[in-house]
Amino acid sequence: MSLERVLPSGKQSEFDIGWLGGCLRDYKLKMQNLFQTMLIGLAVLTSQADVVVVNEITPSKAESAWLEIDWETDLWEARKEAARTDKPIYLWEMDGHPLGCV
Amino acid sequence: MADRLLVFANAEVKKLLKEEFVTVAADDWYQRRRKDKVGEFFAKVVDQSPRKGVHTKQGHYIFTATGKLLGFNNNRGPEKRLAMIKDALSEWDKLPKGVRKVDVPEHGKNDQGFYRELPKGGQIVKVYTRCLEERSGRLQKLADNKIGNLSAVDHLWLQHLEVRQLGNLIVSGGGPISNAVSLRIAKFHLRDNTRGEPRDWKTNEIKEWSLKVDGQGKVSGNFLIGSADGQMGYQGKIEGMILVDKGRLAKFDLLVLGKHWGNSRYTQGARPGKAPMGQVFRLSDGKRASDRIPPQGIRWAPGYWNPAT
Repeated sequence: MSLERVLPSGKQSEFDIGWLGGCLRDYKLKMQNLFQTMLIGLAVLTSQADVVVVNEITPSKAESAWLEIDWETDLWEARKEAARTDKPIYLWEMDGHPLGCV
Repeated sequence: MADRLLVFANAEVKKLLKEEFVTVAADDWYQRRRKDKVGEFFAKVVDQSPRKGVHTKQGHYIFTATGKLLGFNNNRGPEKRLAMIKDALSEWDKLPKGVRKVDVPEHGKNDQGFYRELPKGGQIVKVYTRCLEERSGRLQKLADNKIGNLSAVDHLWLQHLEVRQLGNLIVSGGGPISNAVSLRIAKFHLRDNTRGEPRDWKTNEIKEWSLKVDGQGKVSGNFLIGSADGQMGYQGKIEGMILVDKGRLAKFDLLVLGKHWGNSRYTQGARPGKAPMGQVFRLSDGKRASDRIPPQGIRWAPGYWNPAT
């Protein structure tokens, strides 16, 4: 959006133009920064080597298959759900959260 | 590791758990210590199991909403787990419905000493860590069946004010990231958690540290962290991108690459010498319960939120 399109038509007081101009100047700077940031963001973490190693580090689909089970993390909420649906509760209890660590 | 890959990825186990149970996962370090209604209910279940009187309550429990235990197992093989599940379902089917049903009241206040919740307005960043090795000229995950092969998962929590401060820092042209966020990452998240629970780093173990963001949100940093005796450590570089939009994180992407060495008490079996490790930090929308589990390092919450102390 250009600065010209944002400016209101018609006369303004000297104070209004100064204040409004300042706000619009800041807005334009922020939009420019945001656009430049997005471009740099694409450059920083989409170099081929970075993408490859990121994919090596993050869990694969096969490693995440266990997350297809809809794990609750609150025992009391699980208890309420079990009572509501007439189902038993399966609790996976581990030192260090089982859904974190390994 | 075995539970995730062998048991819960097993098609028959997965089907039974999804269709026949309400499944819940919990950190025993908190749960066994809670002095509230949740802790009392858990203790009631545990006292029917082989874990009664034992310090750790780790294991797999099947029980009713009334607290009647139907099965317990701490064996990591899928066959034995499947057998336990089927036996428990058989016991469940024999129970009269009047015994299975209960009106579950609200549990009242949580024991704040052993309950952690993301502060209002806070945001969550997933932290993935994996041991790497160089093969065919590039860094890759370890070959199958080597210990420490899985990608470990943790969460970095950021408070609303901290995110706003990050945004203001970027807009003002950038600079060093605040101590609260910076040291939290260093002490609680730059560590090898691929073979169990790591210990937190102490502030005086951070030998070299820089983490800064520029006016476009580009992040860069480097670090050397290590125990005084030199037996355990981690050294590497950080790069990435942070975007803040209207006071909320829109992006928090970091890539950490370095070399780690040594064991801590619960992370035995490190590779000899200094070996490659990689970490990815990525913003989460927190929609899944598994995204909302607390950071491993927040057991002493004041230390997590104020890591410089």
